[in-house]
This record gives sequence, C-alpha cells and structure tokens, in this order.
Amino acid sequence: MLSYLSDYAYYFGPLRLLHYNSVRTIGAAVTALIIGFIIGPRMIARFRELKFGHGYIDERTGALGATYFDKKHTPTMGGLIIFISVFFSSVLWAEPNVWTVVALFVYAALTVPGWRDDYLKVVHKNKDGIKSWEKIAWQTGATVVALGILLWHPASSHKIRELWLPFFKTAVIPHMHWAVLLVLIYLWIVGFSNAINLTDGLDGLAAGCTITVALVFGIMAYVAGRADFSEYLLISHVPGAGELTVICGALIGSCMAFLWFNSHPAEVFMGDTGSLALGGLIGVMAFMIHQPFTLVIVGGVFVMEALSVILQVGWFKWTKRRTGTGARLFLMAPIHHHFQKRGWPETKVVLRFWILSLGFALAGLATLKLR
Amino acid sequence: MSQSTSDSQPAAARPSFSSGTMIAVALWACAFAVFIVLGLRS
Repeated sequence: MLSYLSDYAYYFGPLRLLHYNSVRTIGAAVTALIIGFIIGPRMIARFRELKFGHGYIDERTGALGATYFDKKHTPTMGGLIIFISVFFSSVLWAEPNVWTVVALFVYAALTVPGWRDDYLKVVHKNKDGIKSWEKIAWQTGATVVALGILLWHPASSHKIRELWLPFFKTAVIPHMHWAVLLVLIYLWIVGFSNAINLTDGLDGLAAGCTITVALVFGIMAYVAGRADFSEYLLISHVPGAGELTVICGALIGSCMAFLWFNSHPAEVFMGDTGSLALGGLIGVMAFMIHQPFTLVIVGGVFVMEALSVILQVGWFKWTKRRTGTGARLFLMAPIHHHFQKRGWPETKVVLRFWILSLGFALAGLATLKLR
Repeated sequence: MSQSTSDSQPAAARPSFSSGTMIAVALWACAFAVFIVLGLRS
C-alpha cells in the first residue's frame, strides 16, 4: 500500500520511487527479512516452551537412525514465521489489485489447514493430523473462491482464461471454459502444495528451493507486467501482474530469514503450516502470470520429489499385484531419503538439491527467450 | 502412514495468546481487509 504515497512526490521528491515495483520488491524483501529475524527467535522460543515438537520418529525414516533422533523435539509450525513476514511485507509494499489480493487470499486460506494439521499433531498428539476430507475441502474452497474472484473482476476475467505454454509465442487456448480452468488451477494448487510438503523432509530443503522458484517467478511476473518487455520476449502481457514481483520479493526475504533458523541442525521446521501454503501460493501465481507449465520446470525439485513418491507407490503396488511381492524403485521415497540411504550426509543432499533447483530455475528462465 | 514413538514427550501446552498478540492480529486483519477492498475496487 506504500505505492499510494508516490502520489505525494510533489511534496517530497523521493516518494516517487515508491511508484516503481522494482523498488518496492527490494523493500518487501528487506522488510520480510528483518521481520523474520525479529520474530523468528521469539516464536521458536515460544514454540519450544509450548513443546511444539512432534515427539515421534517417523517409522519410515527411523532406519536413518541417529540423524533423526534429535529432531523429535524440534518445534514445528515455523511456517507461521514465513506467513507473518510475507503478509506484512506484501500488504505494506504491494499495490492492491486483483492479482495480489487473490495471491494473498490463497496463501492465507491454505495456511489454515496446514496450521490445523500441525496443531492437531503437536497439541492433541493426533499423529494423523487433519482429516483428508477437511484438507481437500479447504483446498477446494480456496481454489473456487480465488477463481471466482478472478473470473468476476474485469481486470482479470479475460486474461485468466488464456492458457500459455512455454516456447509458444501466443496463447495455446485463448479462452478456456471455466470448468477446465478450475480443474487446472486446482491441480496446480493441490499438486504443488503436496509437492512442497513432500520436499520438506530435510533441514533447509524446501525453503531453499522455494527461494529459487520465487526469484524466477519474481522476474517472470515483472516481465509479464511490462508491456514493452512482454512484447519483446513474446510472452503474455498481464497488466498489474508486476505487483506479484513484490510478493515474490517478500517470499524470498522471509524464506532467507527462515532458512537462517531452519538450516542444519534445524531449530524449527516449517511444518504443513508452511509447505501447504507455499505450494498454493506459487501454484496460483504461476497461473496468474501465464506460466503454469514453466513452474513444472522451475519447480523441478518439487516435481521430482512428488514423482518419486508416485512412482514408488505405483511400482510397489503393480509388482505386488503381478508377482505377489512388492518391489521398490528407490531405496526410500521421497527421493531425498533415497540418497540419504545411499550414504549421502543430510547437508550434502540439501546442497545438491539446491544446485539442482538453481539448474531448473535457469532452464525455466531460458524459456523466456526460447519461443 | 504409521509412526512409532521411542519415548514419550509431555503433551504440548495449548497456546494462550497475549492481549498484545490479539491486538496485532486484529490490526493485521483490518489492514488486510482494507487491502482487499482497495484491490478489488481498482
């Protein structure tokens, strides 16, 4: 909302800088970083006081032994640190428009089931957490409301119906039926929510990969919001979507602050509070800037993690049906555990996956020029 | 997904929120409401 102060640049010249979303993006990143550093230690101390650790070792990962022993009491719900930083910074620095409102709405709406899941696990000691139907209901409700707003608002009602693919110079489908759009957006929100949830299994992995995704999507949102850049690069111009760059900046700053505490050995986990919501946020932003399939490239680590689980379970069931004995494709899924079982230390897995994430990010950026 | 406990941990305390926290949350909710109204009006 600080962008409104640029109207008073006549009285104080430097206020004109607040007109530029690039300046506000940096402001948002720095603000989120500072907020994260201030509230992080306080919230972690409070979580420890309230004993917000899971208190159990996951049976699947128990075989990984000592590296997991001391994680039982590491507090979870650290996603609240990211949420508070991102929200405060975004509301402060982003210009309100339909795109930013929907992005923040989806983020808030998906933080609730994630928080509830963590709350049930640590306070009520309910290891199953939130019921599946309740999680699906929240995700469905958030998607329906978000899409409803996008289809209703004149600034977005036509634009949101376009479907763009990487490497193509024009919209592949200029006007999608709302039902098709609903299914696609739902799949993206739910898919990436779960993918980041699965990725969040090692200290710093999910947060680190989210930073690279947010960086690339910040650039893509900026370019999509500029008529001149988008025309030059032959990508979709989405008026107003440049403000999503500010949210991406806030996300980068908050994840950097969170990573300060989440790096190995982690003092706090983001929990479902963080992972479900972050997946929903990046999923919906990808659709709004007309880069949904680019997210599959840029978020390659998340896709890899999710696919490893799908393949592992699918292969196991298929071989069991055929031979009576289930076989495994990987030593353990998600795939980061596979490498741990191969003997890679946790920090090596995380660093190498960050490198992969950067590689995927560069590949995603390359799609801006390869049209 | 089944899980095992190797030793028990005392149940987590239910969080109580200070009045300062509640005020901050209320102010944030108002700011977000204003943000939504401004955003959907534009």
